[in-house]
Amino acid sequence: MAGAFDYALAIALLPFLSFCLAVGVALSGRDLLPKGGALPGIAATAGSLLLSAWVFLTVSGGETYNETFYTWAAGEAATGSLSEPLTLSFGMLLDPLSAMMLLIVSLVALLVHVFSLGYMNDEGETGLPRYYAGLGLFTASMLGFVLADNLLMAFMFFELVGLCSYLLIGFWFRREGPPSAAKKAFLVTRFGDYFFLIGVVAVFATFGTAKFAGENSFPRIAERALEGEATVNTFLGLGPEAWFTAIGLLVLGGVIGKSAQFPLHTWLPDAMEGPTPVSALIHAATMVAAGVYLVARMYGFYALSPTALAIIALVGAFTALFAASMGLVKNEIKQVLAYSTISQYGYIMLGLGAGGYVAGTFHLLTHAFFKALLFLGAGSVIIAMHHNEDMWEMGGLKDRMPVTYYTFLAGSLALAGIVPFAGFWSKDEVLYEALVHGLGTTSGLGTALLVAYGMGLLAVLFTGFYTFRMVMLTFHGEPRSETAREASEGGWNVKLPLVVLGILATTIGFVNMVPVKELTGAEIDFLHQWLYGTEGAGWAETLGTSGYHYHHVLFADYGAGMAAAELPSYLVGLLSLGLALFGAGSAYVLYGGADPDPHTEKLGSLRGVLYNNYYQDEYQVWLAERVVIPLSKAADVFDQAVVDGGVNGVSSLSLFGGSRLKRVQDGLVTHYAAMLTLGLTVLLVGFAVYGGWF
Amino acid sequence: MVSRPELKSDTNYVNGLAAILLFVVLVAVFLTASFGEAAGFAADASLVAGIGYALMDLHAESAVDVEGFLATFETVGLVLVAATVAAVTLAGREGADEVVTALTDGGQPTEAENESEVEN
Amino acid sequence: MVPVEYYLVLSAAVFSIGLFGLLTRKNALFFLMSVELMLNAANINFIAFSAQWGNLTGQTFSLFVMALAAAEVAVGIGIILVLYRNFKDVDVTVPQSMRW
Repeated sequence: MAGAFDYALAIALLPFLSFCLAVGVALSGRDLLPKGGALPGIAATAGSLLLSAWVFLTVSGGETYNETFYTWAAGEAATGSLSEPLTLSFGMLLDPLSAMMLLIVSLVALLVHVFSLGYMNDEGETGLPRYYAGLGLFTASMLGFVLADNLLMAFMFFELVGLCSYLLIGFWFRREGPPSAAKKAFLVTRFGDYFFLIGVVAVFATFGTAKFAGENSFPRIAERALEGEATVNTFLGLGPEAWFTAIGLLVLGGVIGKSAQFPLHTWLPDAMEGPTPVSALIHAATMVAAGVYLVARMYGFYALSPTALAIIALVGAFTALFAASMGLVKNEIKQVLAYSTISQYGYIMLGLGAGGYVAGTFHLLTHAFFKALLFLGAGSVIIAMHHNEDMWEMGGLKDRMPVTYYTFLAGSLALAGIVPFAGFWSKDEVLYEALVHGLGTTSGLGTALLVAYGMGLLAVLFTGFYTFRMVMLTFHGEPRSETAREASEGGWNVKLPLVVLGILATTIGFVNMVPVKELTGAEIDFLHQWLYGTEGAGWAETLGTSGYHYHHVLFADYGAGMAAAELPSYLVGLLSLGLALFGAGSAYVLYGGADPDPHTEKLGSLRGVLYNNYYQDEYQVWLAERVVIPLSKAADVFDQAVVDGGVNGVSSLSLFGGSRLKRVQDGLVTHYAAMLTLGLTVLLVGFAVYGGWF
Repeated sequence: MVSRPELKSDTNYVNGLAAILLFVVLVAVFLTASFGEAAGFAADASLVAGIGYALMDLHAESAVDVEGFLATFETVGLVLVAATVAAVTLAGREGADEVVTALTDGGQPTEAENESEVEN
Repeated sequence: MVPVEYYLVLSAAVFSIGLFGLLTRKNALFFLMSVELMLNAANINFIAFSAQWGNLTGQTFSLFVMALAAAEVAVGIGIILVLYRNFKDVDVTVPQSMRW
């Protein structure tokens, strides 16, 4: 019987087939499929989920896969100090990290497809084949991105998921908001992807390969270059360390754009114009995860550069605090969740930058589930409220929508980080790693990590507060409008995904309970073991993507040069738990009554700044109008005057010359005869001189 | 003021410079070229008879060296006929229903001119 | 024997005189007369070289040239007739419509 790896390509191809089917139906204009393309989509993602589970089981048995299956351009000779010629190829890399991510993506995609039956089909939306086509293409691209074995293939799928995000945000394009939001999302992420592209080219030029894993992968070559055992091309006159940092920062541009970190975070709140299942799938659990997944995938490379790690951690922590502060004052439920997403991805970046590979990946895992849960729960509320998202018009929904309430509460507890829900274990581990490495490392990296820890800790307080403010305003108190009084829950297709995700949000944290492991000594840190493998044997040795290898590089002198202080993790966890409970408790007190006041109004002008997103949107528009437009006008002038002028000048020269020369033909026969004679004379003289007649 | 009568001169001398230039070049080439001794003909050979023989392709019987020109002779005959016909065609008027002769009538007024005079 | 260069210079002179007439005269009939002169200059050349090489081909050829010159004049007179009919003048500088 063939192994799971032979069918692994079908994981990405099945949703692509459902995309093609939905496109065919959409183009035909006829109502060929009963649910507008939902059933092929559900079948395809269910198939992908089963295959991902099979791959997961195979990988847990110790086997991995790292092969190229199609070379589309192969160089002929090696250049510079590279030893082999460049090849551009497609391939698959199946190791524990990608197997885990495949499961997450396919599960959330399946649940979102089922939920869409309730959100889109049952609400009588039109244009459904286009919607399911977009979902199918997105799922296929995201799975393709996770399967990618080299940076160029990852970049291609990175761009494809950006395209699908544009198509799906602008789904209701006949309204005013969605097309503008879609363009903004595409342009802001594209801006970051420009730096990513330069980074990909830089990787190829420096290492001659862009493969993520294996003996000839670029992280391994970079490591050997820093140890002095290999030579690579460097540019701009920089040494290997500085050049590798530069490459890391270039790729980080794409990560910051896609994962909505400061300053390229402005597109995510506007992306909430799209349908809520799209927000759940793309802008919570999977597409924005693509950026941080890329950092985790390339972790062996980032671990070599302490500057890059410091920047990742600082950007992440700052974004976490920054976005959490903005989420405090929003009035629409999806906006609060959008800022929460930006903030939580800041935590994941903080975890990765602080040297906590397992911590960052763990938070990615838990966040995917509880954020998707929260978005789907918000979707259920939005269906009940007839697409009115203003929380001040809601209230008292917990009695009328019990399933939604309890699952939403589970997700909120996970988001706020209350024990024993999933978010507590992962967020606690992120903050623990930041603190421990910050205290232990003596270089500037240590200081940066401590500052980042401080910001992350403050953001925990804000997170608890805004999460429970959202829960209280939506579900508790008395209903504040007619629609809230008559709200009713959706059918099984709305409740089933909520229940599944609710269970996951509650229990998934148990895969890596590090504080309990420290207290009791039981080997229950399953995710840690999953990502570390067996030291010195199996895939950990051949692929080089195991946690052991990353740990070794992080703590080496040629790498990040980190060191860890000795602190009990449960104490750090207790501190963050205390802050979260304080934040949640204050929200309960302030907003939990029957008729809560808008307490944020008391902040005055500060509220105005927060509500207007620190005027970042206006600032970016100003940049575009004051900086970019003059530059492009100058370029346009150059193009029209110099380039076009040159071309037009050649043609006008030809025309002018022709208009003057044509006057030779004046119709007088005697003139023609004279010209004949002169020509003959010249020819004769020419022949005479050339032929030596004289 | 009286202006003397002038011959109507219709020549444009500037163009002629090209001809003079060509003459100069040709003379320069011819005078600097070297030819051998002229072969000439035998003093008593009949040149005209030789040309006659050539035109009939009987050049073997000629005392002088010559080639056969019968085909050219016939072709030139054909060309002359064609030229005559072409000249006559070009000269003919369109829609001529009166006999056109080369004779003149000394300027006598025609009937049409008589009638227009009476009307006037 | 007269050296052949003299015949060549004579032929070049007659040719140039004909060419001069062709270039400067406005009357179409004078134009044709100049063309005749040029043809005869070529004839002189043929005869000169027939004497040079001792071969009668040149003289036979010049006979044909004379016949063809006559034919050409016949056609030329016809063309001048049509020209007169259309432009009411035999001046060759009058028809200028085939120009830029």
